[in-house]
Amino acid sequence: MKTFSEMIRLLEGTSDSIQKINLISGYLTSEKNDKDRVWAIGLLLGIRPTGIIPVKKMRQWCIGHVGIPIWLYDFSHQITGDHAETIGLMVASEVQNNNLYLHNWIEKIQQVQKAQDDQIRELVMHAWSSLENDSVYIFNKLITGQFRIKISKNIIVEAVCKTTGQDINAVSYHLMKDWHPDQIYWQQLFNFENSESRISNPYPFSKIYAIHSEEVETITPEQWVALWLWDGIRCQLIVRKGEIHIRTMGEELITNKLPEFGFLQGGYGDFVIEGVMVSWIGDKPIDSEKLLARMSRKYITKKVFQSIPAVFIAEDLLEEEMADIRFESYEERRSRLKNLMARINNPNVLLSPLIEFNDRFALAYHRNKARETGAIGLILKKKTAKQRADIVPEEIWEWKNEPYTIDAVLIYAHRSLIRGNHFFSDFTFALWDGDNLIPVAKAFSGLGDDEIIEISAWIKSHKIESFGPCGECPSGLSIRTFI
Amino acid sequence: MVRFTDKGIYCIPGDFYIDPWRRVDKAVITHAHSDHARSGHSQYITVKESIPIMKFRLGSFIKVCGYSYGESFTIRGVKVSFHPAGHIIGSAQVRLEYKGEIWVVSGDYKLENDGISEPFEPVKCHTFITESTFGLPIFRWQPQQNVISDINQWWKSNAENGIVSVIAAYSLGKAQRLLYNLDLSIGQIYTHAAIENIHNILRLQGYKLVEGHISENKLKTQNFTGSLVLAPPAAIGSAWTEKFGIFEEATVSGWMAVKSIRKKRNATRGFVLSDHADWEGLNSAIQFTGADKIYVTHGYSEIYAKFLREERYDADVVKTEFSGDDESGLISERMDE
Ligand SMILES: [Zn+2]
Ligand SMILES: [Zn+2]
Repeated sequence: MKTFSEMIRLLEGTSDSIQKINLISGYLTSEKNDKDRVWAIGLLLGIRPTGIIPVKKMRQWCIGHVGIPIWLYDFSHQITGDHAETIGLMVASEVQNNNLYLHNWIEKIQQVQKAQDDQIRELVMHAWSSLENDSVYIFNKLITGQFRIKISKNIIVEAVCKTTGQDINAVSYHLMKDWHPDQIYWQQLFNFENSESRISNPYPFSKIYAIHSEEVETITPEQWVALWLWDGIRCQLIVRKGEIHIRTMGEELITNKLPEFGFLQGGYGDFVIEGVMVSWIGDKPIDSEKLLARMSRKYITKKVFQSIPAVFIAEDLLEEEMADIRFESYEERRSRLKNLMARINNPNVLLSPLIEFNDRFALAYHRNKARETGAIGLILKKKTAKQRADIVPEEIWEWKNEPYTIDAVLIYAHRSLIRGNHFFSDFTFALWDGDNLIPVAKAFSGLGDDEIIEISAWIKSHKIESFGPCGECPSGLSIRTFI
Repeated sequence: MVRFTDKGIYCIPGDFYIDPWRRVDKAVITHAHSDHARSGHSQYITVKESIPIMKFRLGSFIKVCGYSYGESFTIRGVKVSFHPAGHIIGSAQVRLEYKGEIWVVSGDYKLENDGISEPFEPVKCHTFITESTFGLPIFRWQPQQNVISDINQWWKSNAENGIVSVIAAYSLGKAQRLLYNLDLSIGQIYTHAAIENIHNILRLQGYKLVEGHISENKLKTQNFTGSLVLAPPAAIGSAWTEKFGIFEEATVSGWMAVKSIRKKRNATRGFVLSDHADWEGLNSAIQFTGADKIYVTHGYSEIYAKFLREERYDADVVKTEFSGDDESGLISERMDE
């Protein structure tokens, strides 16, 4: 994200074409993430995600977040002349504890497109407290739909040519075609002749949005199917020309970390399946952290193989015998997938089962039972759904489990670094063990401004002891925490 | 004890002024920047470390008397002492004590230790007169090391591309701070004569500042590729910089935080680094003093005083020549000094 925001900061500060070309080309060279490069070109060309929140609301949140009076915000805004920038300067964190990519943030924005205010607010707070100010500025522009920068197409074409060494006519032809950053890969966009890389190219992953409760009512067994939502690494098994590649959603190639799947390289034909990589023992998956830990190891011993076996749960077939079938209905793709799985017939590759349900009450019942199956909720997919990453989020939903709750005792409250000294925003919780309080968890997010204000006032009037930025509380307040 | 007059901040029992802008008999000076140390006073009283530069700027003939940081002396019954303000070399806050009442005049200050200026020390007082150059919540600085590493990176990549890096920096303050902290292994640092003059004086005081003077001769013959040039803002864009061949310029200033100001100053590359306190710096400095009464000057005075009042401080604006220039809400072109 930072490389992109820096480029924009510099682009906005110059009117010199040569310098602009150099800046864009410099970015395209130094940014190694292809998805980000594609999005960057898209954004410069004026393709941008739809705004989902008005600037006015952001101003309101900022005031609450920073803890300043409205007139002070407005005066500051007069100096900058730009809300996204004003907010960026006011809220940006010093510690950059975030290495999400530009495209990750865009995805997050698209995900909350139809969500309730508080979900959007949570995303905004996440961005504000983890990005440096130039990136907060970009994020604010994107989420309010105000990202606009005047760069002529010729400059962008020249910058791409300078970076890739390609012919100017070819590049401009490809750029002017109707394309969307969500649906295309860098190689497809610019490596026109190079088919080598295509062999391991994944398709854009399905975008799964959280369903709201009202929408559950629209789910009928006639039009929809339900699958378990597995907690694991979403990836695509890509077998082309008898060669296997496994790609994660972040486009990371993880084939060599998963030797279990080498057998797919002969005899089953070519295909691309999307699904979830988990570690499966007995009749359900185990904690996904274990598989992640296994994959981060350099060498894997036999013992680790046996104790953390990787299993791929297949959800969707996207390509068969080199033919893109994403525009067929899910029902059709599912029946092809079923046949393929019957041929593969191997315990390392499972077909994600369909969950039978008669109505939405049955659906709710299964959702509550998801934990017993080792799942974290349900996926609801329209039978007619095409696999398209860009639009129609109404065709595929996730419906996650209710989180667990726990009643815990608040023992320490820390003054907020971001909101200023008057507020407490980080909390340490403990549980009673006989007569002793044992600290069990720290929490630093999830509360709204009103709640922070209320809780801060309560702490100020009840605290027994302060030391440094902390206040020690009497054991009078117990707070319900979600985990 | 103190009155604000049309000559500046006046200590009544001591019969002296602090940083006055009209000619007075006795002037106590916080630091050698030209908006604080003006010429024409009969007698100057300041920090020892500040004297050589003041003499250089105001004339060697001035009558000046210097004290160490923390050393107290008395002027007509008023106990006076200087305390580090962390703004530039030799900058001080002035503490006044009379019949148990304590005032502190901050001058310009910043809280972060920049590695070369005597670091800021909070001083307890009843009344605190604070500057407010960057007294808005949009001004929040990154730690110096982050900014310095950004500048190093920029310089390095320019050097690799055969480009000269030129930085606009004030000759007293920013220039030393950069020279002290930048990574000298990247290349040579050259300095404009206006900066070199200051450095000659500071070197005699024991500051280890690398020599980098560009003589007229050098300017004609030397190949500057890969090096970094420090020059006062006025020299940039003049014929002087043309001699470096292909160069990229950057401005280092707190004002670079704001896009419209970067644009106005034509600064494509702006690094945000200031010798003044940022929003949080001002707020914590005020908290440190424990003062109930705050006077605000030198910047966004009206706005900042209003904010402090809402924070339950007894706060007012110092009606001086300095305040008022930002009250219209327009962006000040005031120097960083
Ligand atoms: Zn000043
Ligand atoms: Zn100054």
